[in-house]
Amino acid sequence: MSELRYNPLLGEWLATATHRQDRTFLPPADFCPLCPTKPGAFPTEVPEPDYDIVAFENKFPSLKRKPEVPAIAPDGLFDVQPSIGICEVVIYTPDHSSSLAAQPVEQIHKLVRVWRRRFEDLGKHEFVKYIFIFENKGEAVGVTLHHPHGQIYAYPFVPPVLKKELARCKEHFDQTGRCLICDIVGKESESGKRIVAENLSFAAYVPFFARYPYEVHITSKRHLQALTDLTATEQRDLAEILKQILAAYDRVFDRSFPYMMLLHQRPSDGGDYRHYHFHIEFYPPMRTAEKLKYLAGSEAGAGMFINDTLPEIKAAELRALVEPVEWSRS
Amino acid sequence: MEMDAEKRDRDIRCAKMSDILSTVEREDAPMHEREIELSDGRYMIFYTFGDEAASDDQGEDV
Repeated sequence: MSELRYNPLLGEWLATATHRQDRTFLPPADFCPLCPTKPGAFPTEVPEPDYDIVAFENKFPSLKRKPEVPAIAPDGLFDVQPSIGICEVVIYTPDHSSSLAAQPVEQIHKLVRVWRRRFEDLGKHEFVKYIFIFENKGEAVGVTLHHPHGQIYAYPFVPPVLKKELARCKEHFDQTGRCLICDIVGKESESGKRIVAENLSFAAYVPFFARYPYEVHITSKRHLQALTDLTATEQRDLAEILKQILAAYDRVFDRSFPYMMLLHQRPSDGGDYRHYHFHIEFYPPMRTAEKLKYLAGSEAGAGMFINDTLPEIKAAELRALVEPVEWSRS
Repeated sequence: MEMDAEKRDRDIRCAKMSDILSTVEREDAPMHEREIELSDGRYMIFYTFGDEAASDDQGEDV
């Protein structure tokens, strides 16, 4: 059963999805449902091996194209809606034991192009108001399948974090006539203290206001709102800086680095969002090689994050681990 | 002073990346997509890249 329930206290929707309790949990590699089906082996979710990247509807979705009738009726303050939406899985490679960081930049470039296409296609559904592309990587952030993959949630509303960010950008634009995120990137580039990597189209930095020790934001230098606004050169530059950051992350503790990767784009509800600015945020949960940054009382209960490190120090640490990327000439 | 050195290092690293960008000529391979329906009604889309277009794909012109 699944449905959307409204939280009148925070003014937010949440989803119940009881069927997700039964989803596959950390299976051995031989029984990975995201690997291509091998001849004579058990049938996985992916019946064909010949692809670069594959996207499909999640078998255990929180939001559905054809949702069932909610299990409970609305009751005054307690509003309920069908859990309409789309949840997709995007498999980055048929190779089970790899990761996005381990992919050549050419494969990451293909992923950027697929992301762009999925953003475009999902946005055509009338009920879709916001498309959220993300990756949860590593057991430390709760992944249930190790095969390299990301997800896309097509929500029937603009989710609360994005709503707040959009409102702040609008407020800044109305007050100054400028884009808040352009101003942030401008300040970060000017000081250089928290810059981790840069190319002609993107800057990667540990923001002044980082909540996680190794938080990184990758922001387009040109003012644009979504992946669909990127030129072909910018798509390649995005792949390149993603490769640099992901590879640097794996060098921090000399191990595959867990993170949440979150693409922040304009909503798909037809509104005017020229005041907004596309960027990617990484939230890695590690604060040392052995210690996790937990969302405890202050963070989860009050919304005030406590960062045990200085963004300037962590940016320098990451910057020293960034290496140039070489593209295949073939 | 330390910050100046850091900024200089960064500039050097960026310059190297710019060199790579300007010297490597790249042309995007066409993207092809093929959609199938799974037995439970879900869709699955296979993306491949390259000049060899599948007969039933929907190529992307970028």
